[in-house]
Amino acid sequence: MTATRGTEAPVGAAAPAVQGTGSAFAGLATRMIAFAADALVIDAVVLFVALVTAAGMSLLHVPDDLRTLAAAVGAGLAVLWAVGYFVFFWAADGQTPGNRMMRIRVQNVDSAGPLTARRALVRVLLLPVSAIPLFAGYLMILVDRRRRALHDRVVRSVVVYAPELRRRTR
Amino acid sequence: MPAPVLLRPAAAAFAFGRRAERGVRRRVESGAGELAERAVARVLGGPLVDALAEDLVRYRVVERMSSPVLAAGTVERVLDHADTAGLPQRIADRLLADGIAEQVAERLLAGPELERIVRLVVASEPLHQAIADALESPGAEHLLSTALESPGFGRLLAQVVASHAVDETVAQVVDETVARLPRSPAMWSLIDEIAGSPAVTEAIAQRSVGFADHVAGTVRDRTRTADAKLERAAWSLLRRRPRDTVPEGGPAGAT
Repeated sequence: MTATRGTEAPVGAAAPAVQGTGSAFAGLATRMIAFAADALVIDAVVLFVALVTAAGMSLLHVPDDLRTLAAAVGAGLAVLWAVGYFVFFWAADGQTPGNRMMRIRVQNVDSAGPLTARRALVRVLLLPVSAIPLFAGYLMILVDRRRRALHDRVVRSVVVYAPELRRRTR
Repeated sequence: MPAPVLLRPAAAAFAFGRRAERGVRRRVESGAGELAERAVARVLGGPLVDALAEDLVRYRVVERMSSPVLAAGTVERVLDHADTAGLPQRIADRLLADGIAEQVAERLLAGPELERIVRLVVASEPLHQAIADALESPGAEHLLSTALESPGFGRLLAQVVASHAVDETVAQVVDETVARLPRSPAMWSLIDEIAGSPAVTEAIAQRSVGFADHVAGTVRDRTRTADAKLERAAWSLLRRRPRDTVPEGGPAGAT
């Protein structure tokens, strides 16, 4: 299937090999830095919301039990936020802000388009699974022909280098 | 009896007569001169001159005499005649040759008159108007452009710039300016105005975006190189041949 999305190259079109690497698939270092950037964004938002909430609660006389409950709810919301963040961007156009910065894209192996929301959700949930056995799931990127991690193999996704988008000038 | 002998008494009488006549004339002349001098001195020392001067003023004799002279263009004719005769040139040559001009110049420079004249000229409104008219005239622009294009102006400017006085002046001006600027509220308001202008903020934003793009591009290039190196290291650890490079056509199942 071939689709065109705005000014980008056709999703189904060939992902160009990056000069000097000889591969069209994003490697471990690039993906880790993109993930770190995303984690920074997620943590910054969580931290900001937590600070505002804590400041608001400090003005009120909240019982300790309620504080504990609020902390638990906040932690759950933070996890939901992190999961929703990745699911939304991967399902939208395959690029989180970190991916966009590193110019890589997560796409479906079969359709070369963005993942479905369900696949994106499964991929997010599998991220810790790939990390648990001493990051063995991630180290597979180094030896896989398409630079796939464990979660990529499970949900049939690949991470490719995205072509540079031309900035719209005024 | 020869004739000359007969005429000798007559010639002597004639010579005597002439000598007597010259003596008498000389005495008469000297006596008349003295008499005339004495008469003139008496007249000048007497009340006649005063009365004559009073009459000249009372009856406007000078005005009456000068009016027809001026009306008839006599002065102009005299001046024209002097001009055609080269009188001004001769006067100027004579003044310059005799050193009178130098003496006049020295006297002017030594005395206070020059300062007064300069002050008077500088303060005069016609001079200001004349300078303003001259500066606004096209001739001034042409003169300026000609002077600027001349090689002499370049040399003059180079000498001025290279002079020690200019260095000292520029250093002094810069020092004073730097010392005064932080104390100037106008400068701070100007800086605020510039910093708050949309053009500057937009330029800074574009610069920032450009810098961020540059940094991100550098990071991308290095990480992609690191990708390949990490892979090669992993394959060497596994003592296996590196995997085949996926053709540039992209992922097999992606197309």
